[in-house]
Amino acid sequence: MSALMKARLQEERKDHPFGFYAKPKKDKDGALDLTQWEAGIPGKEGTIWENATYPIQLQFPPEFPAKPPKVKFDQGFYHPNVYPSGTICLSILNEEQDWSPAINLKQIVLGVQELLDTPNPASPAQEPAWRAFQKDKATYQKKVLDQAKKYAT
Amino acid sequence: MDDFCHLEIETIAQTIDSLYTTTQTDPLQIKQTESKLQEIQRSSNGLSIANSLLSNPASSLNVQFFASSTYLVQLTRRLNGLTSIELTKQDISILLSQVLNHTQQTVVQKIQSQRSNTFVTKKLFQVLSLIFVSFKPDWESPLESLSNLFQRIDPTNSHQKYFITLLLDFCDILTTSFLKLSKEEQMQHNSIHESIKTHTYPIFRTLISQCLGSASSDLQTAAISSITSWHQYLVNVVDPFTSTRYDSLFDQDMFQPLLAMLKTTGVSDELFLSVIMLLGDVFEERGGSGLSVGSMGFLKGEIMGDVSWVLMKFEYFLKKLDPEEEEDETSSVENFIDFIIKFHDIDLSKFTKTHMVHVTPMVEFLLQASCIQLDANQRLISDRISKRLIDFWCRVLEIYTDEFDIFQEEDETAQSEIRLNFKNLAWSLTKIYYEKIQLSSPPHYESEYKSEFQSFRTDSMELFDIIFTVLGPPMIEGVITTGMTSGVKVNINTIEAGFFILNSLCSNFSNHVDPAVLNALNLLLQQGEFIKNYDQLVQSASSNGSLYSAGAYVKTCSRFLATVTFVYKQEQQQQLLLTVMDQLLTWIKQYPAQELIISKAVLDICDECRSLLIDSMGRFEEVLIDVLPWGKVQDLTRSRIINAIGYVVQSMSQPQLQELYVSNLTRHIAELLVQSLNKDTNSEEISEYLTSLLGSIVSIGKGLNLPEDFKDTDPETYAQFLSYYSQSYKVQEQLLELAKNFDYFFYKEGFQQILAIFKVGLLDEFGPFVFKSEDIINYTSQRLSSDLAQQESTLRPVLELINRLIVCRSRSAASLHPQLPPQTIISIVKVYLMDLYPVIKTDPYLLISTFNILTTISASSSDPTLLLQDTEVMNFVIEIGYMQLPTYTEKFLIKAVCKFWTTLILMKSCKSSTQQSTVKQFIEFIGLQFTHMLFLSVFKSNRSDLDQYGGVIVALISKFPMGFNNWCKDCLIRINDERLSKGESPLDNIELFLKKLSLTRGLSSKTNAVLKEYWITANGLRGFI
Repeated sequence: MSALMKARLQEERKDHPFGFYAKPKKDKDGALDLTQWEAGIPGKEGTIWENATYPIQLQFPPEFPAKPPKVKFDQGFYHPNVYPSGTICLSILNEEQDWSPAINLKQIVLGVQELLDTPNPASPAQEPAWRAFQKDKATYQKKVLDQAKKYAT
Repeated sequence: MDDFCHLEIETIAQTIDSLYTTTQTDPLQIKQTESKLQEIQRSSNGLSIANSLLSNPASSLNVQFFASSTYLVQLTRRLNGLTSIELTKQDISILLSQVLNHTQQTVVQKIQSQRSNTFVTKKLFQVLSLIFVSFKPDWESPLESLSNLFQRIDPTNSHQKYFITLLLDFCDILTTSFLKLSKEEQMQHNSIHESIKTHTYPIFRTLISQCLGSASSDLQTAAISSITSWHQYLVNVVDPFTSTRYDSLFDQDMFQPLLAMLKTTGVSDELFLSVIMLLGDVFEERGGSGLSVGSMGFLKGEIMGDVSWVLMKFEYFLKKLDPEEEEDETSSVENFIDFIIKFHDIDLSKFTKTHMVHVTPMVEFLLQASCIQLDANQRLISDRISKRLIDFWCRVLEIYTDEFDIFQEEDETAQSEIRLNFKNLAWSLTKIYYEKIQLSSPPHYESEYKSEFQSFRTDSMELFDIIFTVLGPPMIEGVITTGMTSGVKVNINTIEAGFFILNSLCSNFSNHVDPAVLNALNLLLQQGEFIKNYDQLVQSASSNGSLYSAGAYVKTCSRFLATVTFVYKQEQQQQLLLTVMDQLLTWIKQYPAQELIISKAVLDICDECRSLLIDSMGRFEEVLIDVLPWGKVQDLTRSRIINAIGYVVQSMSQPQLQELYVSNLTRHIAELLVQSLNKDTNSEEISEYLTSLLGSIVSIGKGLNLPEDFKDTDPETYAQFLSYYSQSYKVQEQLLELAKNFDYFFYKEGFQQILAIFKVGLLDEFGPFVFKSEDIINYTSQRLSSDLAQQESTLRPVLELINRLIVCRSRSAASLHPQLPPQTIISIVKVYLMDLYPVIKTDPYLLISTFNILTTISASSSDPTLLLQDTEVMNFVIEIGYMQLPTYTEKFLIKAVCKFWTTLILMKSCKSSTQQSTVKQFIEFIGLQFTHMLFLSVFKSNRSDLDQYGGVIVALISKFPMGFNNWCKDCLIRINDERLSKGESPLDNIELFLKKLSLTRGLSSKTNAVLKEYWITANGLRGFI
């Protein structure tokens, strides 16, 4: 891991927003692996995502911060902008779109939280949630509420 | 309106004043007047109106303010190109002279008439600042000009304090004005920044020295405000965007008076807080890098050398907190602590080196601040202080774990002492934060500040994680479990907090758990007695009406119990496991608000400890009585409990018993289904319940899925089960019967659950939920013969099941369930896809499922060329695969069809040269026509879908480089001719496009870029270059 990457990831540990958690995973020896993080995104109050914390995995590439981390929900996560593999489709996480080395972990988790209740229909990543969001809001809401129960806090 | 702009100056002044008279109350009239005045401000003669209004000494303050604002409006409109009237260099010079004169006049009025006109002066300063920054007049130093101007007004200097304040105000306005500019604008102003440094900054420093050294708190406050602005200007504008460099704004001369203010007792709170906010910003933003070695040394001596002032101020601010007031804004105490942390953060290694060799009063102070106890109403503040310090302590302790070599210069004895100091610090922090994260009684605080309290707890766990790396297992026994079990202060809140910490720590343990940790947990849990006692405390809290706390107690404990499954797996811990499971199952009934958390715990424990729970089957049967009937628990809870039972049943040692148990359970559920069907079947709630019951059967199947390592870890049992289930299909027959008898489940959700029953065991080799392929095919094909089934909501799940069947049953030939033979696959295509095509083609989502099946056959079946071997099937592929391609507009349909073609063309699944040759011949046969339809689709698609087509083109370039080039050329010429014949615009530069395409060498990103570029041309958006 480059010195820049290490310094940057150490710095990221200082600041995560209210209600969120974010920490590096530990390897088998119990040592911190700064390239693999897990974080929790609380659903915003007053939305169908509330009362649950959605776990995400962040994988920082060796080129970080020149390249963005890969951010994933659990496989099969129900959201129009989440691929079936769980990978999140968000412009600030895309090297060819809005990623900038200045974007920090706090901005990423807040961006993901914002995405939960404000999906981008122009950039669909999975068909079932995208389709329901566009054409069958009742089913969409039911599925999201069921998912919130699964991740209830 | 235009006439209004030519009104007499006096009339305009009267109109302005009328806005502020108490007689003017009609909102409509006020709005109209405001609108007229705005029009004047924007009018072509706005500058002369402003000048005239300000030239009249009798003008009211409101009129003067309006006139000053008019200058700003006029200049801003010129900068933004909102007016065509230009200002020449001479105009600017005249304008500058005018505004300086007006400034002089307002200052004189203030001195002579005691008019409270500072707001007018400040507005004029904004005008001067804008002229200086954006209109580049021949003006070296505005600050010097103003200073000279004030000197002329009052040569005796009797109003020096007022003038200094004004000059600092101007500095504020000037530096702040740059912050509003964009990066590009900042870079255009490089010469101005250099000029400010050379001509304005020295005067500013002199003013600051005068103010900070004076006894006037007004001047000191003005100075600090001005320094803050200048600092922001340096950090946000000068450093990042210009080549101008300052030696150091914050040198010893600057720090000395500021720190003196911190230590002086008579300084006002407002002044004190503004100083610590300023210094905090300096420490944080410049991170020490902008501070000279001398300044740093000075700061360390001043701030860390003498801790008495820190203690004094901290206590002073604590006393000032109003216990009656529930503060929800950042308090003075928090700001003060932030300041101390930010200072130490500049060089935490040095801080640690200084303070851990011998523990200093500063460390003791910070520990004291971490555990400050305030009045109950102020717990939010004390928690916020503790929370702010968490990250600081984490990083201090990480120096012990990651950077202990900074102490290598010390001898061994000293290093031992340092280690001891670190450990003592870690012990202290453990005790402090263990106490801080406890729920209070009564629990109004936690319920009122639920999110903040949870956030505090979560952050505290990061600290405990690091403490554990310093102290190791003794931390668990030394503080946590001891705290939970002994001492006079033991109560349920202490135990709950202990569970909370242990849960966090234990979730980090993977396969290896330190024996000392196991020992501590064994001692704590005492074969389950501890949980029983805890339950009594929970019940007591519940009976006292504290349901919020009771819920929290149950929730935390459940999570902990699900995390420590490694404890139950030890020998002699069977009783503990049974007690734990019994407790959780009891709590589900007692605390319905927590059932989702508890059922998750049950599920996780059953998954991890399957065979150890066989003896609990009787207990699970009791629970079924509670979870299966309608309305008793949530659907997810029902599903989880039955899934959990499935895990245990999976571990049974005899297949006969396993089958019998599953058979009985599914029969019981089927009976409930029948009973429920006899009720009001139109009720939405009953429908949901029926779906949930069917889902419960799927949950049993999930639980029965074979563990991945089953075959390797216990080959004998595996063989025994394999042998048994190769003969017996009792459960499957029962389930098939159930499925056939429930026509009712043609409603979408129920039918989907029936299909899920067939799907859940597909990956396994054997088991009660592993159906024969022909059973699945027979059932679904029979169902599809009904018109009712031939609609999207039922057809799609069938197609998905069939797709899954092909995926799973195309694998090993040694399985109990053989690979699907080619004729079966061809038959599937004919029956499910071709026969139903009239229905399928009406719905893009059915087409998606169709292409998914075709892709699966091309990728997974024993022979990927199957689709090309039957003429009827091949024609079907040609028809829907590319003849209809230009009609597909749905995003995911385009994705599915492109995936099919990419899979087929790339031939990755072809195992023989014959298969490759078959595909090759097919593609070459359809090449020209296919390419034609492909490009027709590309040109009419959405830009965002181009990447999908790009994948197919990449595959064609890589497999058929020459052929594809020729097909492209021919078909693009044809498309061009077609377009011309329809009177559409021609395709530009076909040759250039093909050349660029061939140069991509099949690289996705390059191909997509060329395709996008040409798509823009083809759609007439711009030429192809």
